Amino acid sequence: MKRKCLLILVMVAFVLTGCWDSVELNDIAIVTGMAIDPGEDKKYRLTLEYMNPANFSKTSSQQGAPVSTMVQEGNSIADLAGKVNVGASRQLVFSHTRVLFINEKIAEEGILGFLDGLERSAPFRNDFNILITKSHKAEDYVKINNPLEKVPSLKLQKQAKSFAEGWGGDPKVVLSDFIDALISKGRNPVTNTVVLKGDPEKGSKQESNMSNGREALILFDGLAVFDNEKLAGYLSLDDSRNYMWTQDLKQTTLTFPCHDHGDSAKEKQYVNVRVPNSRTKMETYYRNEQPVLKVNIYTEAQIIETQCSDDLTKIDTFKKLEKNAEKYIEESVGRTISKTQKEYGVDIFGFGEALYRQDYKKFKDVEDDWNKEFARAEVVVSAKVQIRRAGTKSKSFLTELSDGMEE
Amino acid sequence: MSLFDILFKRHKNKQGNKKTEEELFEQDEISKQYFTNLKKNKNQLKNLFQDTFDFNIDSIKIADQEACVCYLGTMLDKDALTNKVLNAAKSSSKQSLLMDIEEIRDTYFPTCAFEYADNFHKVVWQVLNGYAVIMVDGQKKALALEIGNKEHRAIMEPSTQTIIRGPKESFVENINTNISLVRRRIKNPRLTFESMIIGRDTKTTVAIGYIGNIMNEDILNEVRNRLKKVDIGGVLDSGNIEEFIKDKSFTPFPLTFNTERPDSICGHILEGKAAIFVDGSPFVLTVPSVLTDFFQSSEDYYQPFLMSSFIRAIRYISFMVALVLPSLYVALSTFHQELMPTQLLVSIQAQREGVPFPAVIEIFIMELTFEVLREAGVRMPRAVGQTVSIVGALVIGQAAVEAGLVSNVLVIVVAFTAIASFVSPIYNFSISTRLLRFILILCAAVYGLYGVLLFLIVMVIHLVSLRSFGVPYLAPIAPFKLEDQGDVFVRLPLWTNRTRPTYLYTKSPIKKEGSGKPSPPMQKGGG
Repeated sequence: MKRKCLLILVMVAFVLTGCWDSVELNDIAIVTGMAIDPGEDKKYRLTLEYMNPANFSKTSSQQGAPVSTMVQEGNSIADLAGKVNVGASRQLVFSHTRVLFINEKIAEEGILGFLDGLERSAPFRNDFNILITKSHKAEDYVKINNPLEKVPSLKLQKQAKSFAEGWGGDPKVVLSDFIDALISKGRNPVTNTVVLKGDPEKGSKQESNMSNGREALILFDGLAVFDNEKLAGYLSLDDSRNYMWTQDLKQTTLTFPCHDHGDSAKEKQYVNVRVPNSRTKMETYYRNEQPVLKVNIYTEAQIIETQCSDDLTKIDTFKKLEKNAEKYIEESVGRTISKTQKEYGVDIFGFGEALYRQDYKKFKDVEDDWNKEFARAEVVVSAKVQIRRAGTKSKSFLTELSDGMEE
Repeated sequence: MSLFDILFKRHKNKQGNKKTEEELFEQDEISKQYFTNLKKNKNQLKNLFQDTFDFNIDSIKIADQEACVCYLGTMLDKDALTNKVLNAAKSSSKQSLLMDIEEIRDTYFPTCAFEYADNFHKVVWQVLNGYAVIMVDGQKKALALEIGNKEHRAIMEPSTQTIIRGPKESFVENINTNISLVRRRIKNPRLTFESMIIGRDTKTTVAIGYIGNIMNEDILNEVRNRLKKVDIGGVLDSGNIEEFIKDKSFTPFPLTFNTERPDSICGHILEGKAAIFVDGSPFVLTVPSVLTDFFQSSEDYYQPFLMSSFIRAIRYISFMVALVLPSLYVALSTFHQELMPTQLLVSIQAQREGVPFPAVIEIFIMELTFEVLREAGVRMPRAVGQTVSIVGALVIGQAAVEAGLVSNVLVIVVAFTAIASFVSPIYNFSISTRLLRFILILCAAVYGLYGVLLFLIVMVIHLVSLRSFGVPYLAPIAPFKLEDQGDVFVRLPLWTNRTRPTYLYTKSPIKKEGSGKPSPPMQKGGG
């Protein structure tokens, strides 16, 4: 009898304490993107983009826009996220947030104010992209339609992924990377930036999907360099690839001149290689109290296109091209590093972390002034390129053409 | 008497099986005494079988003596009986020698299977078994003759455990046929069948089959003891026996293996298990059985081992799918939206738009509908089978979705679960998943994944506590036996399998010596 009573009690307890956090799919809306602008009256202006599931149904007619947005102003992001049902009908679920757009004006003032809230909150995954918006309001970015990807934020996320895999132009900075870089003394955070081309008013209309040209398009536009929490400035798109060379860039496509002669860019002939595999090693050391930043890049490549008539069946041609490629990489990566040294004086590359690993004691001495040390450091970039293949053709018809002319 | 009969009887006597036919009749208040006076015996029989239309007592004269043949007309071939007895009576009419019953048998029925009945209980027993009993005046014993047989179903292909490659025979209702199906496959004098009679009213023959020099003696004794303890009115199928000899009643998992495939039974007997044959049932039990037995089909050993191993993996996965898929759906969609990929979540959410029920109610409706359909499908007459499946498919698959009562993805979940639950080669194993599934859905609805895991932990604890005739139910996984792993989740080639399952503690643990790995003949002189 006692046992039976106990069993019933346990079962009652089991049932009564359950279900407290269950929520049906019909009662939630999935937030995919957030945009933060400076508020007019309050500190922040938060725009949430959430999906309209009815639009994704295969069976019922696809009516309504794929996403809705909800704009509020307030002094903290958490407060706004909690209060969102002032206008939205459903409980918002933040676990699928993919992109966080931050207006550059907010970034200039510092973003520590809400990063903690995002990292602390359980629903947020910390793997969403952080993007700084350069033109227009951040609010506009979550509204731009695209016929391929219905959800603007998912489009941006996919775009970033493809860009990173195809050209190596996205630093793949997600929230956790950003915060890691922020707290590290040997590194400063960077993120990608986006710029809006076109008319956001038209781009946010569903009709814009009906035309072949895009009324408005969001493009990546290089890196945003942070000095701690504050936006310090920008690097161009080319610089952002050079930045990625130092960060173990995996894949890219590289165009470099095949000869030294020819002065202006127009006269030069170029060869284009695809890099399927690349490794980077960073070294930082002191030589007579002079910090030296060394980047070793080891790259494999295959020829995609050539404009010059060199005979690709000869090994010397490959050697020459390899040398040119090495020179090109060394110059361009070196240029980006020294530009960062001069213009911003912040170590976004993580040379300080390399020193931390390689010479801990020395780093302890200089860690508080590491950015100054970085700015005066000597930069050595050495690249090793190996061109393995030349596509499906060995000899270019250009070679035969030039042979004919010589005869 | 055939070799089979000799072995059969010998072991029966050797074991001194207490529950003989004679004892069984004592509780029925039938007197045991067999009289030398034919009239008294006749009267006694007539009193016992008084109202039965098919009971016959025919008076005849054999070797110039008063005699009678008594039999149940429905239990034997009357033509054969007439032939045999008439011939005897005819040929004996020429002689006027006085013969005793043994001489009568030797002279007139030399080829017939027979048995002497020296008490009245035996006479009744043989009559009930379809023998013709000849009682001769003045003799102390009656002669029971086996006459051509009763009707029974022919050996056919298995109907519930079909395979593609392998023997296509299946057990039938007749226990002798079933035993002969096993004997034909295992030509071993140590293959022993002990019979006993179970059932107060039905007096059904039950036989334990095993190989004497393989089977563990302690387990065998346990089997005997448990069968002896069975006290039941009627045994109509091996399922009746199963419930009495289980180690634990309150469990959804089957603790005895059952099959209608003789090859499968032979495999189990050769491993060192005991088979329990029940007269009247085409399903033979084997004990002890462990969980992994229910994931193995005899076909695994007839197909290439790579394929068999793959199929086994499919079976284990299907078991898990059938068990947890609906509850995972409930848990993920109502508690853990963050665990699903965004695209999948949107797709599921889009389908659920406008569905009026919570996910758990929705899945309960569909699961119950499916259980109803399944039950209807099994029971309905063949003639209306088509109707039910068409209506069922339409109702479940289309109408419910189109009416917006359930979502598409849920139909997929339920359908996949249902198909997965059919994968186990032994039908009654899927019962456990069917029952546990509903509890799991409830757990998922109350606590999400936490509840699912909680229940699975309880389930594993329960499984570990189970025993089948003293053998741990999860053997050879827990306790873990490395030697047995070649035939659990994967099936290694047969030549690697040298030992019998260690958890059965057999008398001869080694099946064969040497590796026996097949290879081309070695070339001399370095080829």
